[in-house]
Amino acid sequence: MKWFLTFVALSALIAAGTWFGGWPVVAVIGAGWGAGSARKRGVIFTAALAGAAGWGALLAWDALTGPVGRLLQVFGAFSHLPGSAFVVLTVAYPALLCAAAAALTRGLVLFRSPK
Amino acid sequence: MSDSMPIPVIVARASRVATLVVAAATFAGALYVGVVPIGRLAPMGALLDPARGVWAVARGAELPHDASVRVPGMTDSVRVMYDDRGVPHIFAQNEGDLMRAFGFVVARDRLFQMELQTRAVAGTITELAGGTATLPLDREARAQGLAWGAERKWAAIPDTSSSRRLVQAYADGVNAYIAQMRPADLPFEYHLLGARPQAWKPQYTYYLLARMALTLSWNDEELRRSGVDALVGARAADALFPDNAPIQEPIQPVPGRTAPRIDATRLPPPAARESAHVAIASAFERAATSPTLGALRGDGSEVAVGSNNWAVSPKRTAAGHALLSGDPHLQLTLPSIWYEVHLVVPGVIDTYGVTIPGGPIIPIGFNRSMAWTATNTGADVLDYYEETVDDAQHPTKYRLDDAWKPLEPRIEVVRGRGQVTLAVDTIYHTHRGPMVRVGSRWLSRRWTGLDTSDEGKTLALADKAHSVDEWMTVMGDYAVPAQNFLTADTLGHIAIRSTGHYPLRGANARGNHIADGSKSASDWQGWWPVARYPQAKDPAQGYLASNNQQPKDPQVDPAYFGSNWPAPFRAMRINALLRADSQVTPDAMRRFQTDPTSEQTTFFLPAMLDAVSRATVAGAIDTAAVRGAALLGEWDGRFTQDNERAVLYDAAMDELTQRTWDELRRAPNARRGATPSVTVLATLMHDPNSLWWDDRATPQRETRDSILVASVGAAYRRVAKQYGPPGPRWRWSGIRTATVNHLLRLPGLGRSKIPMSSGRGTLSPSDGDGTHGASWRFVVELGPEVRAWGTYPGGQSGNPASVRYDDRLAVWTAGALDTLRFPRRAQDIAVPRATLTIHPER
Repeated sequence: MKWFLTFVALSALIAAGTWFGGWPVVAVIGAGWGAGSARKRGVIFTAALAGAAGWGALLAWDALTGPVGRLLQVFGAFSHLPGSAFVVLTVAYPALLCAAAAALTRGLVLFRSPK
Repeated sequence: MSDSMPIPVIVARASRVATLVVAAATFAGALYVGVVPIGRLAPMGALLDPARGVWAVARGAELPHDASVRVPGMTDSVRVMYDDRGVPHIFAQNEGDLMRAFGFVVARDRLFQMELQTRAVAGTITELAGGTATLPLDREARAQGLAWGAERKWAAIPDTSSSRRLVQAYADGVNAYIAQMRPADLPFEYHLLGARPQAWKPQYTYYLLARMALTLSWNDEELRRSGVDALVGARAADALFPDNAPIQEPIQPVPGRTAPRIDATRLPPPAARESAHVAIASAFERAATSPTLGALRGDGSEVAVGSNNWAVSPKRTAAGHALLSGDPHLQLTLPSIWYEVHLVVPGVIDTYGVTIPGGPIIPIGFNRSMAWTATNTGADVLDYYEETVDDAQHPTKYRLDDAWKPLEPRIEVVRGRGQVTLAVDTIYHTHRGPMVRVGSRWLSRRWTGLDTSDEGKTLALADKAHSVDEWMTVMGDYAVPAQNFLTADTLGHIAIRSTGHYPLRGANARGNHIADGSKSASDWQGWWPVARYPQAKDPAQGYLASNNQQPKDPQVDPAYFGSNWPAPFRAMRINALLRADSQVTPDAMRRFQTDPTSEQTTFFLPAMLDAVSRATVAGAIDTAAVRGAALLGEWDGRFTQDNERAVLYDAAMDELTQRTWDELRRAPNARRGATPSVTVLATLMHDPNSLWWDDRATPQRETRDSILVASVGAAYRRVAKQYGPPGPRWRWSGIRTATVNHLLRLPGLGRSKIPMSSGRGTLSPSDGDGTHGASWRFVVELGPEVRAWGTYPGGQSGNPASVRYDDRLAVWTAGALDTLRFPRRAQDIAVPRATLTIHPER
C-alpha cells in the first residue's frame, strides 16, 4: 500500500512537473527520486512506472479534452505505423528517462557511500 | 590499493562502477533523443510531451464554445460568431478593430499556412524545414525578386494611407494571437518541425499578393517559344503558339454571334533542324523549368488550372434576380488556399467571401448589394530583354542606347536551419528588373508583378462597393494579377472586365519574343487605357462568362494582348448551357459547375472514328484500333464518374498529342519543352496531309488518318494493359481522381483518390495527378435579400485533428454547395458553433 501511494505521488509529481515545467522535469524528478530513495528496493522500477503513468495520465487528459483518435490516424498515415505505436512511445519515453535518471543518481549515491 | 582492500570489496565497487556507467549511458541516450532532432523532425522530448508537445494539438482542435481575449490597440469590443460551418462573422464598430479581429481570427485557424506561404515568397522555407530539398525553391523565389518587389510596394504606400493603417491593424491582430497562444494552440506543423511562429510583419500581406501574382500572371512564353524557334523555325513556332486562338469564343461577347469562330489556317511546315539548334533549345527549356510552377504547367498541352465564372441577367433567371457563379481553380491543398469570413462594421462594410490567409481583403465574395468573382486573364505582362553586358561571368554594366549603365546587384543569402548559410546568389538588376542567365545570354525581366501598385487598397475599396458601376470605377486602379472580374448587383446589372495593367509596347514589339535590351525603345511605353480593356455590361444575350480564354476577338481589337491562349472549350460549354436555359435557377448554376460534358470531343472523336472506319474499309488496320473505335463509338462524350469509355478517349488524346508533336522534342525520347494548344491540334485536323502529321521516327510518311488510327490502337492497348479488358476497372471514378495534398505534402495530412466528373475540356478540368481544381465554388442570387451557396475542398481549420480540417470535402466531391449564412446582426446566429469576444486591453 505504501509503495502504491508512493508510486501515485511520484506519478502525479511527474505529470504536474511536465505540465508546468516541460519534459526535462521528468529527468529532474527521476534524479531526485533515485538520490532520495537510493537504498530502497525497486527504485528504478518505480521510477519507470511513474514516468509512464505520469505521461499516460496527461495523454488521457488530452484524449478527454480533444480528438486524440483523429491525431492517431494522422500519425499512423504519416509514419506508416499503427497510430497506437505513438501512444506506446509516449509512455515508454518518460519511463526510460525517469528510470535512467533514477538509476544514475542512485548509483552515484551508492558509489560515494556504499553502506 | 589492492593491498589494503579485500577482493569482494573490489568486486562490489567494480560492479557499482559498471552499473553507474550503464546508468549514465542510458540516461545520456535518453536525453540525447530528447534534445537532438530526428532528421527534420523535432527532438523526441518536446515532440512527445503530452502537455505541450504534438499531443496538445488535440486539445486545441475545436474552438472553445465561448472565449474572451484582450488585444492591444482595440478601441471597442468585437464580437465573433462562428456559424455551424465554422465561418467567423466578425462584428466590429470600426474598421481598425475589424482588421485586428480579422487578423486574430485567421491566425487562430491558419497560422502555419500564413507563415509557410510568406516564406515561400521570401525564399526562407529551408530555414524552417531544414535539409536542402527546398533550397531550389528558395533560390528561385529570390531570383524572381518576389519579396524584393513586395517590400518596395509596402515602402511606396504612404504612412497616411488608409490601406497601410488597415494592413498594420491586421498584422497587429495576428501578432496579438501569437503572443497569447497556449501550447495547445501551436499548429501541428510547428510541433513536427520543432519551430515557433515568427512575428507577422504587415508587408507579408504584399508577399502573399506577390505569390498570387506569380501563380496567375507569370508568363515565360518567350523562353519556351525561343526553344521551339530553335527546333522548328520561327515561322512554324509563330503558328504553333499563335497570338490569337484559332477557336474564338471571347469573353467580351461579339453581338449576334452564337457559335465560336474557327480560324483554320494551315500550319507552315517545320524547318530543318541543325545540331546547334538543339543546344539552344535545351538552354531555353532549362531556363523555363520552374521548381515552383512546374506542377502547374505540366508540358503545357492541357491547362491544369481552369477557372470559370458566369453571371445571368434577371431577364433569364427563374426568380428575376441576377445570378453569379464563381469557380476559381487553383492548386488544391490542405489547409485550403481560401478561408471563409464575414466582415461587418455597420454602415461601412458588410461583406462575405473568401480571403487568402494573411490578406485582409475579400477578393471573391458578395455584400448586401452585389457579388464579384474572378478568373485569370492570362495576358502577357512579363517580357524578357536580351542584355549586352560587360562581363559574361560577373557583369557590372549593361548597354543601353550606346551607353553603359551600372547593374544593381542584389545579394541573396539563402540559409538553412540554425541560420547556416547554404547559398549566396547575386541577382543583377537592370532598370527593367532582375536578370537571368540562359546559356551564354543574359536576359532581364520586366513584370507587372514587381511594380509598386497597391492592390490591397483597391480590393478593400471594392469590397464595399454598392453597385456594378461603383465596383468597376474603384477597380480601375487594379494592376496585378490581371483578372477577368465578373460582377452582378441587386439592381439587375451584370458586367465583366479583364482588369489589370497591360503594357503598351513599342511599334513592332511582341511580348512573346525576346526583345532587344540595348535600346530603350524596346521598353514598355505605358499602360492600356481602362476603356480598351476587354469588357461588357448587360449584353443583349443576357449572360456573361469567362473561362481563361482569349478575352477579345482580334477581329474586334487586333492589338497584341498575349499568346498561346487556353482552349475555349469550357467557354463553349457554359455558353451553350446558358443559351439553352432562359429560366436559370441557383441550382442550375450549381449543376453547371460540375457539368461532365466536353466540347473538345466534338473536334476529335468523330475524326478518330471516321479514320478507323476508312482504314477498315481499306483493309489496313490493326485489331486494337478497331476495338478501340467500337468502344469509343459507344461513348456519350461525358466524363461521368461511372463512365467506362472516357479513359479510352483520354488515352487516345494523349497518344495523338505525343505522335503529332514529335518535332518539338529535342531527341526521340526527350520530353517536349512546349506543347501547342489543343486548339492548334484541332485546326490541324483540317489539313490531313500536313507535314506535322509525319512521325520522324518512322521511314514512311504519316498522314492525319494514320496518326489517328495509330493513336486509337495504342490507346486501346495501353488501357487494356493497365486496367485489363473493358469493364468496371475502366470506370472513370477510379482513374481520374483529385488529390488534395497537405501544404508540406506530409503523408496522412492530405486526401487522395477523390472521384471527379472532370476531364479534358470539361468545365471542371483536371490535370493528370488531380492536384489542381475548383478551389472555391459559389453561387449568389442578387435578390432583395442576397442569398448564397458555396464550398471549398477542405475546411476552416488548419489543425488536422479538427473535424473542421476537411469537413467540406464530401460536399465539394458531390458537387453540392452549402447554404452560406449572411446574418445582419450577431444575434441573428441563434446557435453559434463558438463565440469569441475581443476586448480592448485595459
